[in-house]
Amino acid sequence: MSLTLEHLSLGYRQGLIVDDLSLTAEAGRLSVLLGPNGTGKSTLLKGIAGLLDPQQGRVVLDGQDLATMSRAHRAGQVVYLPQTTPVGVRITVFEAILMALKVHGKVRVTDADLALVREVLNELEIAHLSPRYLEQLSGGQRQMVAIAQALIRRPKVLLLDEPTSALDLYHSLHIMAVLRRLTQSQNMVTLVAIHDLNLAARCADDVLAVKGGKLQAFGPLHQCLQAELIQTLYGVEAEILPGPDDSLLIYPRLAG
Amino acid sequence: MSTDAIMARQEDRHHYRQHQGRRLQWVAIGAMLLLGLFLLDMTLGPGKLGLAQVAATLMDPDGADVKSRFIIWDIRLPVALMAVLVGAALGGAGALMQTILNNPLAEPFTLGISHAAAFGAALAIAFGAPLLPWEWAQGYMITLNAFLFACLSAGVIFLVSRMRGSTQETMILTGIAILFVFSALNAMLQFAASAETLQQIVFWAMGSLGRATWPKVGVTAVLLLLACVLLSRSAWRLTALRMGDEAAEAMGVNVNRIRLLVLLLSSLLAAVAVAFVGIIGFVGLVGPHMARMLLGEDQRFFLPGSMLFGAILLTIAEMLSKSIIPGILLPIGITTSLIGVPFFVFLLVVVRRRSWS
Repeated sequence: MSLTLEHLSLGYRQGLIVDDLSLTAEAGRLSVLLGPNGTGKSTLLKGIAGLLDPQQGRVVLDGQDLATMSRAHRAGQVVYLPQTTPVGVRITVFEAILMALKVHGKVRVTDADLALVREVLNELEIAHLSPRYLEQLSGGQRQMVAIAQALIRRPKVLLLDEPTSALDLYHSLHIMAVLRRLTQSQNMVTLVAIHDLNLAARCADDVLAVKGGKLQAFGPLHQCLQAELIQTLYGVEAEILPGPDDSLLIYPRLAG
Repeated sequence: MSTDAIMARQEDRHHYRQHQGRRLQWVAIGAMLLLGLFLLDMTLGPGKLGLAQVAATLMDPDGADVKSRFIIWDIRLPVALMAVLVGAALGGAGALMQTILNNPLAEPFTLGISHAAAFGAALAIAFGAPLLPWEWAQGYMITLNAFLFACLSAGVIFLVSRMRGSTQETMILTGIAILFVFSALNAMLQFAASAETLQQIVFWAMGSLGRATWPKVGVTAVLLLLACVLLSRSAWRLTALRMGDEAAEAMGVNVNRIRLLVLLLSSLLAAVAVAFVGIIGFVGLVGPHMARMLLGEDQRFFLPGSMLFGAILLTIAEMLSKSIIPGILLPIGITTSLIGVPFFVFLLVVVRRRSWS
């Protein structure tokens, strides 16, 4: 199973934001999407999810063009989690996850539906949150619920837009570890836009770097994440040091 | 299936029931309260009828004496039913508008739909209706014109929502602009009107369930039923809207389409309610608010709950409008706000704090 972007160009009326991007991502691997602010990371994720019509090119999942799929079918295959989670919503965690499962289904809830919700709650270790309202949760907990809402649809492609941006160290590490585990166990193509390079280096299999809407690099972490790439992307000089457990540590030097 | 799997399933079912049981409990309590109030409502008014007599006359009209049959079936029942139906329509319309516009202040009143309808009615009272030779046609002319103007204002909000870059805020602000435009137009009409017309316009706008007739009850009931059937199929998608537009879109919900459909449907509900009984504020605000606190925003419970609480509120208001000054029927628009405001403040200050802690 693989996800292929073929000469994908995305944009709005003002111009192209993602420019002629081609690559193939394999299932079971977690890719981090790196790039400076305002460089089209969110646009790219939305484009892959089919929330934006491509100006040119196409997105192909397992040989099938996503543009030819129905809205509901596509939403079950490719799941996109926006940057923000809803605030002040009086829906329980259980209901929110059940809704994500049933959104295109019947109003009636079956035992099988309940079992699926329970399974996802257990998988993400958030069963204790089940009866609580979303408005009572912290940012990290809401993010976990959003991930649960995505997982219950058993997607083939999971796209996340800065899921850790509002989270503390523990929750950032926890969510990325969960994503990495699920990517392998569910055999998904997972693409995570992220700014924290050290966090990216800890959990990524692959790196996808974009700047100005153009592809800068795509490939295995150790091969791609070099000082030159960081210089190109962010204009920051950095040292890449070998870390414990075969990991990489990125140490940026302040300019000037 | 293994014993473990069966056990797990039973446990799931148990959790779910526990989860939903409380909500159903509130709905049941509400329904029983409504039934009680509904019957009690029919005992009030000139001509003494006890609760038992009301119940007996309802159950067995042919067995009852002519007088109580006439009072119940021809006078009080349509009014009491109209209170329930209009309350439900306003509560439902408020809930829908709040959901699609993501704003707890949205309701037919604050979106200007009520004022547009009032202007339509005033226009008919001042110019159109007197030209018609038949009295029954005059009544319908006023209602129809109110309905047309309510639809017109909903149409404007609808068009604005279609414009590029328009957000929920744009829609709300448009509603508020419509409210001001139509209350200004209304004031102008009142300023220019003769004393007799002025009185009619003002009384119409204050709202009265006394205008209820069986055909009006029928139309409102059919529309409400239709709305319930349509909405029951979209309950999950409406709940998805509460996750935010982008998240709902990513779940495969056609956000623009459902927002437009629901806007039209809720405007229609509001328009019929206002056209038949006049301006009634607050029910569309407080009904959904109570439902949100007690039942949450899972639309499978939130929508019916908002309708139920709307119906309860309007029935209480109707009972008060009959009993505050004995022998005089106060306009329902007045009593609704009179009981609505203190109740709303009570909810905000006391109950909300407790339920959220």
